[in-house]
Amino acid sequence: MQFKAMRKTTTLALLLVLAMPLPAGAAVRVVAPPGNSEADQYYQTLPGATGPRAPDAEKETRDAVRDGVLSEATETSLRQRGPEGLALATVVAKTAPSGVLGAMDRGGSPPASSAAAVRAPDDQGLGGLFPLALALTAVAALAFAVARWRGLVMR
Amino acid sequence: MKRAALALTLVALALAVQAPGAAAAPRGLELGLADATFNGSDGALRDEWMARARGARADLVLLTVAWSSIAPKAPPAGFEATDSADPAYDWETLDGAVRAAVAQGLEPVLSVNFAPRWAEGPNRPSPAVAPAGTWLPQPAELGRFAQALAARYSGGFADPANPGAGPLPSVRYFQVWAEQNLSVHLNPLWEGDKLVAPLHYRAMLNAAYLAIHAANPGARVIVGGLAPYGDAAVGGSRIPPVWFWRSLLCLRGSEPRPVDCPEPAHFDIAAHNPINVWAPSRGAVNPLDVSTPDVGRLTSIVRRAVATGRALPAGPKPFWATEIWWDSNPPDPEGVPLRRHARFLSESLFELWRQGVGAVIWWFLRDQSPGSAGFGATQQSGLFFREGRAKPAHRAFGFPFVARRGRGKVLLWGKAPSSGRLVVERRTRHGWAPLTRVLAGSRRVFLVRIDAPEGAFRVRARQGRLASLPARVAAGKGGP
Repeated sequence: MQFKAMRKTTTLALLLVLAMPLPAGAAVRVVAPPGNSEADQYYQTLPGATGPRAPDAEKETRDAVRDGVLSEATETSLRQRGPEGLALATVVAKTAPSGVLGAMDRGGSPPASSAAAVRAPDDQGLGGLFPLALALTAVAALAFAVARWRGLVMR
Repeated sequence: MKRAALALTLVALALAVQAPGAAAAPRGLELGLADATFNGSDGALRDEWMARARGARADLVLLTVAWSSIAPKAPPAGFEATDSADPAYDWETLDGAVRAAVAQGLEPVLSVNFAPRWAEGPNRPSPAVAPAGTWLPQPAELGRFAQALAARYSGGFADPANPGAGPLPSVRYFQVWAEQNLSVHLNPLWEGDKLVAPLHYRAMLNAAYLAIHAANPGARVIVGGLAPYGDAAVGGSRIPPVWFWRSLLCLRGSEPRPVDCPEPAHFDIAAHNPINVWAPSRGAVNPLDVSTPDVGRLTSIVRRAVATGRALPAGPKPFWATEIWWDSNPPDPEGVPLRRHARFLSESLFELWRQGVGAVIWWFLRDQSPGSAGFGATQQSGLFFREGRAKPAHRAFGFPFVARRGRGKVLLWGKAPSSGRLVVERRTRHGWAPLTRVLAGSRRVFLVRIDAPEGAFRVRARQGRLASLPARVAAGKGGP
C-alpha cells in the first residue's frame, strides 16, 4: 500500500515533467508546404537553438528512416497524413535521443542535446528557465513523495 | 397608447418573421485563378483554359506581366517608354491574354514583375546573388512602364491586332510586384543591418501608382502580395511580412506607432499571399509571419497606417489574398489527398473571408508538368489534373461550403453558384434531407447559424442541380 502510494506520486511527478513544454530547440525547425519540399521560399522556419535556419525537413525524415528511428511503414503512414504527418515525422526524427534509439547519430548525447536546446537565444523557448523549472519540479516531487511516505509510515 | 402598442407589436412581428437568410447580406468574396497557360504563347491552349476558368466560376484571372519580356532588351534610340505604341515593346502575348480573359467574362488582374536589365540599379551583383530583374528596379522607369501599361488597357487604345474593331479591353486591377520580401523577387533586402527593401519598394509603388492613375483614373493599384514566411534575422533572404509592412507604412513596434514619413505609400488595395504549410485554420508559428488565419496581423497594420496618414489616399483599403494553394496527391505523392485538398480550399476561403479579405486567387487552374524538376519544384495544386480531368477542388472552388459547430449553433458558410435560394441538406440513412433554406444575395455569399443536433453529421448545400461537396459537422461544442 505504501509502495503503491509512492508509485502514484512518482508517476505524477514524472507526468508533470513530461507535460512541460519542450524547449524550442527540440521542435521541428522548418516545415515546407506539402508537396513543395524543394521550394526555397515557402517553408516556415521555427525558432531553434541556433537561431532561424532552413534544414530540409524531408531529408531529416528520410534520414530518420535510414537510421532506424522511424520504420518505413510508420514514416509512409505519417506522410500520408499530409503536412501534420510530415511534421510529426520530422519531430520524431529531430527529437529522437541518439543513445536510446541507437542508430541516429545527431552529434551528441541526449544530455548534450538538451543542454544545446536550452541555450536557445530566441524568445520562443524557456531558455535558462528550463533546467531551473525541471530541477524545481523534481525537488518538489521528491519532497512531496517523502512527506507522503513519512506520513504513511507514522500512521 | 393603443397605436404605440400596435406599432411595437408590428415591429416585433417583423423582426420575428425574418428568416436567417434574410439578414443583411454578407460581404462578397471574389475568386480568382492564376495559371501558367494564361501567359503562354499558345493561344489555343490559353483560350481553352480561360474557358475552364470561367467554367470553374472564377471572377478574376491573375496575369503575370513580365516587364523584362515586354520591354526591349536595350532601349533603342528614340524609345519612348511611356508610349505603349512604341514599336520596341512586345505586347502580343499580354494583349491576347487580356482579350481572352475579357471574352470569357473574367476580370484580369495585371501583376507587374521583373525589370529589364537596363531598368535595374547600379552596382548589380551576379545573378546568383540577385536574380535577373530583381536588382533595384528603378522607380522612375517602372513608372514609365506602368503608364504605358495602364494606358494600353484603359479602354481607349486601339487594338493593333484588330484595327477598326475597337479598343483593347479596359483593365481595372494592376498589382505592383510580387513577394518583394524575398530575394528571389527584390534586391537588396538589407544593407548591413538596415532593412532597405521596403523603402525602395515604397518608391516603386508610388511611382507606379501615380503613373497608373494618370493614365487610367478608374484603375485600382494593388500592393504586391508578400510571401507568408520570413527569417527573423538580419541579412536573411526572406523578410517576415509583418516587418516589411510596418517598414513600408512607416510604423514601428508591435503596437505600431507612426514615424516620420515624407513619402507615404500610395495604393488602393492591400494584398498578401497567405500560403499555408498546415491546414487552413492553423496559423504561422512566428508572430512576424502571416499564414491563412493570421491576416489580421496585417490588416491591423494597414488600418493603423490609414488612420495616421501613412497609407494614402485616405479611406478604407480592401484586402486581397493574391496567392494560395496546396499541392494534391495524386499526382504529387507528397501533396494532400484529393478530398482534403478540396476541403482545404473551401476552408481557406472561409478563413480569409471572415478576416475581411475581399478576393482570393488560387494558384493554379491546371497541374504543371513535373518535367525534370519533379513534383517538389512544380505546382500540383490545380483544380484540374494536367490531362484535363477535374479534381474535387474544382467543385469546391465553384461552390465552396463550410459547416462549423460553435456556441450551440452550426455555422453554414458558402458561395453559391448564383444568387437566389439554396437548400442545405443533411445526410440521413435514406439520403439527403433538407435541413434549412438560405438566400444567397447578389454577391452569392451566404452565412447562417442554425440549431442542430449534438451528434456529428454531414451536410451539403444545393442550388438546383448543383451541390457542394459535403462538409462534416463535428459532434460537441466549440466556437468557429
